[in-house]
Amino acid sequence: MRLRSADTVPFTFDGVTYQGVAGETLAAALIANDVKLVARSFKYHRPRGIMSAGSEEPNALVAIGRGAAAEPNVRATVQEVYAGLEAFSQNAWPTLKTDLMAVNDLASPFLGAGFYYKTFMWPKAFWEKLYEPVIRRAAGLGGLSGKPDPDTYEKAFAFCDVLVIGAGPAGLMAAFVAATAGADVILAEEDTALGGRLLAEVEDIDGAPALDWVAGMEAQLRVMPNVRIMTRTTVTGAYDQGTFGAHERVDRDGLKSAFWRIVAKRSILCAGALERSIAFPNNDRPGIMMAGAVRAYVNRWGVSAGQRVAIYGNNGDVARTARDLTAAGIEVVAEIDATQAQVIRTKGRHGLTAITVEHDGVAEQIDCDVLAVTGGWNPTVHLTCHMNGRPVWDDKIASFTPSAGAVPGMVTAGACHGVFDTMGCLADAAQIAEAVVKNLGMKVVPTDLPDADATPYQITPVWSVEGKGRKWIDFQNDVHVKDIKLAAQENFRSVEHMKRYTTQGMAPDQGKSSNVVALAVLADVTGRGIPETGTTTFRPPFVPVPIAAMGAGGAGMGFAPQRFTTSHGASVAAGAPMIEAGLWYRPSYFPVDGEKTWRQSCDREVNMVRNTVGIVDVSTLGKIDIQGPDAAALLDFVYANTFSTLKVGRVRYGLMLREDGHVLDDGTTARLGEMHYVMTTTTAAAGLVMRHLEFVLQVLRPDLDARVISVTEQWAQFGVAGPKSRELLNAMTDAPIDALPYMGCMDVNVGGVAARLFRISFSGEMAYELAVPARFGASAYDTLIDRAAALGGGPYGMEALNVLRIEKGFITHAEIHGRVTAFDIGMDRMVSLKKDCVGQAMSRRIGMLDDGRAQLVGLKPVGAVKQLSAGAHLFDSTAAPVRENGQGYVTSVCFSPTLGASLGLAFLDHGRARHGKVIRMVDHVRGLDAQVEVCDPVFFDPEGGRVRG
Amino acid sequence: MVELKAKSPCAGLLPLTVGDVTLTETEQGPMWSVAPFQGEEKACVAALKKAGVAWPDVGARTENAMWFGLDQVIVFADALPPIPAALTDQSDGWAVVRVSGGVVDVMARLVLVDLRVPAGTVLRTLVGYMTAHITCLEGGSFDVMVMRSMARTLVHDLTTAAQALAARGASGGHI
Repeated sequence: MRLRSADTVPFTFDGVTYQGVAGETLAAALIANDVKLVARSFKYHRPRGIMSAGSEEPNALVAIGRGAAAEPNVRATVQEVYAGLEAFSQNAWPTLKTDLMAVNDLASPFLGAGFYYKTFMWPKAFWEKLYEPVIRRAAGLGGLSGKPDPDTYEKAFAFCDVLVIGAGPAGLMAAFVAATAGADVILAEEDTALGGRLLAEVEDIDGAPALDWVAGMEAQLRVMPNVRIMTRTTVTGAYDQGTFGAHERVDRDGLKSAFWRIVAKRSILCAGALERSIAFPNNDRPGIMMAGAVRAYVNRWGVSAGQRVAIYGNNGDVARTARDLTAAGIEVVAEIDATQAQVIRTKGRHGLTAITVEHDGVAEQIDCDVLAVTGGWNPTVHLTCHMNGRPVWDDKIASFTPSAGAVPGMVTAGACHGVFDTMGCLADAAQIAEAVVKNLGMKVVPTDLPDADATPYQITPVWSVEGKGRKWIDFQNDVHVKDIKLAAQENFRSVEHMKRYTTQGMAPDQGKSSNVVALAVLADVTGRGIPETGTTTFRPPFVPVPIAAMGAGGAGMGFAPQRFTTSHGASVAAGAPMIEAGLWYRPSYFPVDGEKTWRQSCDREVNMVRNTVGIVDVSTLGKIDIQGPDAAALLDFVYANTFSTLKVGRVRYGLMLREDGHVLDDGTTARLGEMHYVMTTTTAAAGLVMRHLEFVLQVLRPDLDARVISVTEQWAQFGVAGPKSRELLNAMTDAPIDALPYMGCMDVNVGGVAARLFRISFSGEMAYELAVPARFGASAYDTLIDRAAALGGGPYGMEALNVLRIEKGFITHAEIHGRVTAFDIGMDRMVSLKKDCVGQAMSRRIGMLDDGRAQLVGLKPVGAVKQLSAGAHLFDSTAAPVRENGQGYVTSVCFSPTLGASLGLAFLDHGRARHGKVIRMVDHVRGLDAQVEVCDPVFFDPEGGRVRG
Repeated sequence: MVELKAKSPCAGLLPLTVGDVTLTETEQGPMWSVAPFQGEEKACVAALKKAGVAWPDVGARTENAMWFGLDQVIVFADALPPIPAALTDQSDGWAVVRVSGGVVDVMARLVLVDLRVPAGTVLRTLVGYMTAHITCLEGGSFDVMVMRSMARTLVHDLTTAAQALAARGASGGHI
């Protein structure tokens, strides 16, 4: 029922159109439309209604929107109404009113806490296949759409001197004090408006409505440049070094929400308090609400959940609620003092119709449509517990208050500090905030405290009521008093054990509404006091945070940066499919007219390189500039082989080991000057090798006077490979290059641009690599391609590059995959014993030089099956292809157009001694079974005549 | 005769304006990394001073030099005098994007360090998932420097952040 007229917009709930006021909560709008039944409970599918007016709501979880954008488990008490909003109930089938799963409720005597631990023990295999899926279908909350979320999310970072969490009276005062002292302040408020509890209460401050004071404070804070007010922002977790997670609901133009990381030198938690219920029989019917929520709906939103309201509680809020409702013209049919009388029965399955009250042994039925309940208030201590702090019991308020210093840099003020009257909150916050800014070395500007309500909070604890029917404690997880008693009876007496046995306080709820009542019941059952019983652990996040917000920007291609070579545009324009390698995008092959498969293109490109000239962009390989008096010593230390003996102007292949003696990476290093080298790494290990060199220089050998810096991006580098490579380059460089020997390097000029030329080969052909400053990369590539075309050559991609190197038996990280040694790849003699190097000692360990190790070999098919397969396993030709008989595995395969056969590289036990033997290759995944001959891994031009030209 | 044409890292990507954020490419010109050999720091500082280059403190930028990392600075100059340091041409290795306009909120979406620092500060940090050097300029603008190959991702990330900010509308300022 709406108490005051307002402009409305249409929205729907379960397909029925209603009218709501834009900006009010969905809960308020449903109440205005007399919708009582809004959800089914988690386990028993009990009909449930709205219970609270804040993010602590345990019952009214709904799905918003439909299709891929649908968002489950949204609290109706938080969701704002807008024109066209579509909300749906959850966990009910076929409809909310006639939910067939409510049969669970009838079976409740069998479904108590821990039932599945006992019931579904046997047979064991049934758990995963039958019991768990059935239970999961029956219980639960909303579901995900299963489709990619079309909405966008953000993540963002913020920094401040003082983070004030919560903008009720205490938060506003704390923020004001900190801000006037000059601190950078962030005031984070979960609600859409500032004011906290004052938004929901009828109170005066300085003789005027409290909201006037709130508006005045907000106006002052908004104009201060050092204050940032973040509404709709829930601080969800407290982490190390003053870092907080916060979730901001944005809901604009497809921008759903933002996840903030706020770093604050100090924080003041002014999170207020949450009202708790009383565990009386059937206290979960729609219409039974928290008294503070009933007031919030009437006072703030102008809506009432009923016309005949009974009020039941153990503190001064009973009278306060009666006063506010009466003033709003709502009939208060009973004010029940819970310390004198008890509600022992409630009626109305889909909405409350009556309660029965027992007083001095006399029971009386009272007709009512709303029961407003207050069992007292619990300070919102959650954030103070996120770093394992334990709150402290305070008898005066019969609840827990935060322990001091639980989160470094954080203090608490106001209701969450255990101060419940407005005047007290303001004074507490001012005092606490002054201490905080003083501690930061700032000067406090004295603030006059306004005059506010100072009625002391008085409470007599009442936790649960005897009577027939379940007395619900944790509404979200369907836990009632008997469950807790059962836990204690079965010796799950520790509060943490009770939590796990019953599920009380778990999951999104984190015990917001249920925790203290549950502890009190457990304390009672076990005969301990509440302080001795203690609390369970409140964990982050304080409210659910969409993973999409935490991972904002990381979906799809946003997962990692994309790295593009200077020739990228030309490759794409040539129609080359691009593949990702170490974040870089590289062309697979360059299809020309008439080629229908990648193999046709690849074969042509291989033949092209073997017969004329091919161009490939190799800029992605890591390049590290190494200079200094000890540059040579550094290289001798990080490479297994020797580089100090390398002559200036020459290049050498190098093998790098890890500390454990296995191969780390390989590549070529050129000596540009006496104290100057440039190292090449593989594309994938470029960062790894750079880090390794830094580690060696900073930690292992700080005595070495050498400096390293990456020049990977400085130089665009192109492989020019094939018999016509020299001819091509001679026409491009300002001076002839004929004198450059194999494994030599020289400075050259290309059209007046200083460039570097290396005569190295990864194809087995006479080949060069030309490096130009990256700004000229695109232009140099285009020129190379034009010149190559004139010689019958052209570009080649990764596929052809791979075939060329397999034909030559050159390794890549497919072979040096982290588990192989120099011995395994036949390079043991490269590990120089004349000097020390990283990994040398460990590479000599027993077992590392064992002939039985899997060694690099070549494979050729010799049976009917001509196909080889990378990842296949190797067996004796007569052995059964089972794991126990495994003798090795295939790492790389290709079809060689040069040799007209499939070739493979593999690791095989005793491999080098088995050249010429026929073994069996089985790929269980692809269903391949082939007879293969073991051979030397160098298939083509083993003498290396071609590379020397 | 071969003629090579130069192309800047952000060619074809910038300039861009999204909402009240403007992205332009900063062309740095020639730049050298300078890493003094052991015990030669003072000699390097003095030699560069003579050449008119003030050695930057850790985390700072001077008129023609910026801190770059451990024992490493960048000097913006066509050529350097011979000094006892590793000198490496870095002119082509980096993409630099100037972010100006309503910048702080855009940067706050990508950068996880506190940007409330004086102009002239150089930060080595992440922008999104990219390692970057950020130079804080007078007037609240920033020069963001990432590896040349990542120019497109940098522009994409900055654009996306600016678009999301613009989607919040005028009241986005409350954040």
